[in-house]
Amino acid sequence: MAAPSEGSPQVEVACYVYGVVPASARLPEQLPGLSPGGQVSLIRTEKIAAVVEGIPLGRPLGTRAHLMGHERVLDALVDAGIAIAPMRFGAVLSDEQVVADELLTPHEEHFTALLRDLTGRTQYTLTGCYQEESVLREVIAEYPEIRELRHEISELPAEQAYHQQVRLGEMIVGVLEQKRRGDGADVLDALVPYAVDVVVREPAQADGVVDAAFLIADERREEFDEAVEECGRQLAGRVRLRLLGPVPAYDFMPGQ
Amino acid sequence: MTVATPRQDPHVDRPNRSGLAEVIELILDKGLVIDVFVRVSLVGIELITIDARIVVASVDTYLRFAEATNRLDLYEKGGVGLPGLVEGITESGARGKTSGVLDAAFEKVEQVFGTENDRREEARRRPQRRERS
Repeated sequence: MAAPSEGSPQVEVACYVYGVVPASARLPEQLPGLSPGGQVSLIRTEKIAAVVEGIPLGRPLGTRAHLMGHERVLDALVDAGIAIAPMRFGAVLSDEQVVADELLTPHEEHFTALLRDLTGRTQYTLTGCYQEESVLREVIAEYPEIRELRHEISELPAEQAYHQQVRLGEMIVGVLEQKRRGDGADVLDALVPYAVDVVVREPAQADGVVDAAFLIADERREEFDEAVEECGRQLAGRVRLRLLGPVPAYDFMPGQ
Repeated sequence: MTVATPRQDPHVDRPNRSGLAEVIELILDKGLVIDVFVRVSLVGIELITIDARIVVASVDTYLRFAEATNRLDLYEKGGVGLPGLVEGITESGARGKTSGVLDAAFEKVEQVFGTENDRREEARRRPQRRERS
């Protein structure tokens, strides 16, 4: 349990919360946090623990160093095989007592169940996007009206072609959306069988083919990785896949 | 713990996790929201995050495609200069943590492109939540 703080009226240091882990977790040694020299520690209740760091108040959070620090701490826990329920960046409570009394104790059962579901499982995020040149050649070959608009633009001075440019880009983006429905579904069909759970998002970029988070059991990581590689092989030349992980199960937290 | 099977000529990029744009997005947009659990003793601390990245991305993408298509050497035609609009939005977006700037940018995107996506709502909501302290 945390030492009770003396609750001074002016809080100079607050408690940054990275996430919640089982009470049995041991932090890796050498775990630099958000701030230079910051000390990452655990605040435990009987079954669970919060991963925290004291941070100075009065300075905004969100610099590159802060974000990297947050990520580094959570990744280190994942790499140590610790089940973790990650907080979204920017979770700050007034002191350690509050972390124990208001975050952990009242929600102990909730977190315990959540962590049980995450034990031995981590997230992999797969994104894929069309390789620009080859897919644009496909689009131009398949759509005469896009060919015509391109030709029209080529005859105009650059400064007069703005609206046509936007229109052309919009048409292409529309075609890519159609293509994505087929290609994206193929990738998902091939990979979903390896996952405990999947969260599929609409790709954020117009050239996106797939954007999905997979919750993968540790013992299936290699099979999953092989299956991803096979998808990449089949799409070679048209689509480039990126596989990120293992990362904390950000996408599988309740309440999204 | 990482799967580190060395591959001959891999068909999938397996980037090092650290400092990637997509990890940053996970950190900012996903994970448990502490407000759900603790209501009384939250500490208001200013968060600087770049919500405009989403707006910037969509306009930027349309123009990037238009340009790239024109650049293809199928018809031997030279490139076209990048119009001013996207530069303007990018500049204000990069600094813009006020929702006024964001809303204006969203309206601009809608006017010009008539697009709608669910991230837009999310981005519009978020600054308001974070302003609470």
